[in-house]
Amino acid sequence: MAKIIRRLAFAAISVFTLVLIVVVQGILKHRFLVFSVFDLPLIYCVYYGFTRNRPVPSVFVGSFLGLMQDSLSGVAMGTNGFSKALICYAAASTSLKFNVDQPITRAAGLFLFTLADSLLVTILTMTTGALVRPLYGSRFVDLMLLEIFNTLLGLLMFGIRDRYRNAT
Amino acid sequence: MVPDTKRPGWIVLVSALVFHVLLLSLQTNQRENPAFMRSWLLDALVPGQKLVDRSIQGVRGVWTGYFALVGVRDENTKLHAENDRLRMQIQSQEEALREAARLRTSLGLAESGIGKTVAARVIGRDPGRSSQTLTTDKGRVHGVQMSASVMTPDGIVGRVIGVGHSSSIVQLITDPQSAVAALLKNSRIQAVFKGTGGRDLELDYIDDDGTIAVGDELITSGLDQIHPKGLPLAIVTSVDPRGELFKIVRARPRVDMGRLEEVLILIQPAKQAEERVPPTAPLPSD
Repeated sequence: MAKIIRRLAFAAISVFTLVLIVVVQGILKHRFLVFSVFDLPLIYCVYYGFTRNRPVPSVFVGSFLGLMQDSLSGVAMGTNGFSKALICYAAASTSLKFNVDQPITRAAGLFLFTLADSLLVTILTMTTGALVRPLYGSRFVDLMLLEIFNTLLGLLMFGIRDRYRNAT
Repeated sequence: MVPDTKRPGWIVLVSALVFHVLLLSLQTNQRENPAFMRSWLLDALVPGQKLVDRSIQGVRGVWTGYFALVGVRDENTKLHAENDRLRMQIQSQEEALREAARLRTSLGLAESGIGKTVAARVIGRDPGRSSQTLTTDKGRVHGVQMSASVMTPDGIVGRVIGVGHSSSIVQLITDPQSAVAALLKNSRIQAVFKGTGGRDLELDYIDDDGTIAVGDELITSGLDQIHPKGLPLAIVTSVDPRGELFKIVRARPRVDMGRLEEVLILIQPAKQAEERVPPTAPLPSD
């Protein structure tokens, strides 16, 4: 019985954490426009995949995060869900094959996954018939800025996590 | 051959991806209907967003109300002076307004007002990167409907694209999926301005003979059946040649989309409001 309650509590905390990430991203973007260059749900997807090393739960985490992002934005439901599910799974699979404890590996992973997410979302948005801004010119600059800032914030999160683990 | 230990991972991933693809294809066929999942998720997420937003507002209120008071006295004096000036302006125009209403009634003309609106607070923005939307704290219970026009006293903001029980998603006019039927205020040229995903609106392929110049004011034409006619939309910021025959016209919206705190959502357009009042109804007394 205690085990079931512990599992339910863990599941509730996990769901609450995921909801909080999406809510915080939306509010931070509203209050501080600089947060429009960060993608907290994506950073958390990569963080979860790299630290938990479990591909199956990663798929659910990514899907849930993506669907919540879709519900609060103007894109078709499933766009970010598809992308985040794939990326979260890829991050978890990568962590099983490579050593992702090194900052350089983490930076490369964050950079590539951010790029992959942007491309996937753009392609899926186009396939649903919606108009997108072309991926060149000023949009390319925005994309590169997003990559760099996302990578930096992700590295910071990893650093805080490592420090907390070492302290405890 | 995939090892047995890795098979569940692949199966779960493929199942999830197939689910998302089915969800996407379902909406492609029913673009006018709100996604049922969006409505549920909206109702689940927005209470948390409102709570956090109210907490931030509370802290901000304490800070600006009791601590950050530098310049408040000067601002107060300026606002009092502007208030007095506006009151005198209103008084001088009241008689003209009454006469216009009397003439409109006697001629049987439709009410030229906007209609009935509800004020809504902006509590968040889209957490994604490919669209420009806002979340507000008014929804179905407050009379908000899909495709309702959203505005501020400065001009048009966008339209509602998702409605929950007590929240709604507003697509900004700068969103790449957005298009607004516009009218140049002076030359009365009609056009459709699309969002670019950035700060500006863009008009493609206008006739080279068009007399559009930088600084021209754009207003809504009402032809899109979403935004009431005559509301401020944008100001033309650049007119550049595109090939030999056409021009690209860019315009900056009148509303600063980065500083939206409160918006007005149209819940009953003027024509509907006018149908409820018989033409011979007496004018409201002061």
